[in-house]
Amino acid sequence: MFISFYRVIKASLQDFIRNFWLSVVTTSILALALISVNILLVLNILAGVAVDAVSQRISVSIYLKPTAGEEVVAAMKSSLLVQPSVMEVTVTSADEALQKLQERHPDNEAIQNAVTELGKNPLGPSLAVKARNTADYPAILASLESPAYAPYIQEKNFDDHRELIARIRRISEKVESTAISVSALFAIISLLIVWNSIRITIYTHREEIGIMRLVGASAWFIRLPYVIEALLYSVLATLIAAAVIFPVAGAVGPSIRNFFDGTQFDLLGFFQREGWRIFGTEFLIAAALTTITSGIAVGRYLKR
Amino acid sequence: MADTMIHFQDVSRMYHPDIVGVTNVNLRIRPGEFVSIVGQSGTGKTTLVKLLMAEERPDRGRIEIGGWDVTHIKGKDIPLLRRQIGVVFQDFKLLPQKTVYENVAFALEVSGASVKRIKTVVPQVLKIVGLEEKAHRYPVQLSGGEKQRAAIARALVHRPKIFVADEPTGNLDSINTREIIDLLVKINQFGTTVLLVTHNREVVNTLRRRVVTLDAGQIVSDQEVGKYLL
Repeated sequence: MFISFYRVIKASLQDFIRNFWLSVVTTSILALALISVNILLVLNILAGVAVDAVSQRISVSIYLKPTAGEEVVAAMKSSLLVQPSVMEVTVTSADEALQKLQERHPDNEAIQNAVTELGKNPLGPSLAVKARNTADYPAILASLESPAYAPYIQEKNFDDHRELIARIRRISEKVESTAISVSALFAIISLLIVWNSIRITIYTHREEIGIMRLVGASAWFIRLPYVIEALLYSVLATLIAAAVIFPVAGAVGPSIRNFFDGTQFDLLGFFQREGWRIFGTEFLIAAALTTITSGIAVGRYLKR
Repeated sequence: MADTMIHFQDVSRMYHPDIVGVTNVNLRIRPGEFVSIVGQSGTGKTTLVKLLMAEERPDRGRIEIGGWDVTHIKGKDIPLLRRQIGVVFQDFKLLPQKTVYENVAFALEVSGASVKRIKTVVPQVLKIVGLEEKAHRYPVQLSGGEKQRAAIARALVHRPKIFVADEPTGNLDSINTREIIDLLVKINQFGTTVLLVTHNREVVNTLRRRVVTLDAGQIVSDQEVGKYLL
């Protein structure tokens, strides 16, 4: 049994090397399919990063009346922060608001005079709320409608952002559903390409399979070298795909960060963290596909 | 029966209601015989070989090889049968990506033979067919005659009781044809039953051995020391 297995391994390696160009072509097709899948994966991730980047820029400001004291502001901040959907709450005190106004319009005499004539700070404190998800804003703001807080609220600018937020949500959902559809389509195309290239590889060996049968080789002795060879194609193709993707991720990573204006997303870091899982899964799928295809394709010629 | 190596009993094989492979073939071949199966193209010679190798099943009748009924042989037993029958073809059927040595060794490897046995037997059979000097060449580097001798070496490596040569000289010139036929005679002298399927009149007439003539799928003549009749 051991000697037969050794011979099967030897036969598959020998066949891989002696049919060098056929092996190169088959491995290349498989590697290109895997590289394309990874590119699609990166594009999906980038689409998510883009939507996140835009969403991160959105915050809803709640302007309070000048009568709202520090304790009210602190209570509102606390009640917002305990909500899981709230990511961040930034408080701007009345004094800070006035200072910002003056800093923003240092040469506008009308503003400066109006503040001086009033003799007191006309502005109230405000809260800038960032949600984890744009869909959560209505619920967050609704939570402030309670009688404890409502009398202090002068203005919520959610209505100004409502359309923008809704649009981002629509784009986000569209990007997600498109990504799923494109990924599914691409996966099917890749499967068909790989399936076909393995079948063509076995087709070129059909006469050899016939000869092996004639000299008394058992079905498994004929089939197994081709299955192992298919496994070899998958290993090499995965390694080639990884060898291409890692340097490319390293090279384009800074450009992506610049493009998204300082996003924290690190493409190379992502592949370094998730590489084993991504390429491991891709290898398992490629190996399953190629070995099953090989086995079936050889089986066709074994029956003849 | 001990005095029968191959026995076709009332065997018929039809490819289509109108296309006859062989019909009602009754043929008994004794161990150690040299039998030429002759006939023009399409008379059923190759069908007989395919039935013998279990490449095809008869529609009717019974086939026995060395007392083993192979009429309804199971798929898993076919490799065992084929290891007991050496066979060569007009188109040699050598594995193109293997050397002469590897082609011959492959027939032993598939049966699980030990490395030691392969290293002993393969050079022996290559010496018998005169290819020991070209053992490490690939089929593409050999002449037609050499390819056929490599195929014969591969067929001999299991020391089969039956040796089937299906038009072995069809692609060869007269000198190579003579050499191959001499080799088949030599194999027969070792005690192997030889079945030569051919339509080469000169070869058959020179051999002066048993000749079975097929016409339209039927045996029309069976002579102990025969000549090519058609």
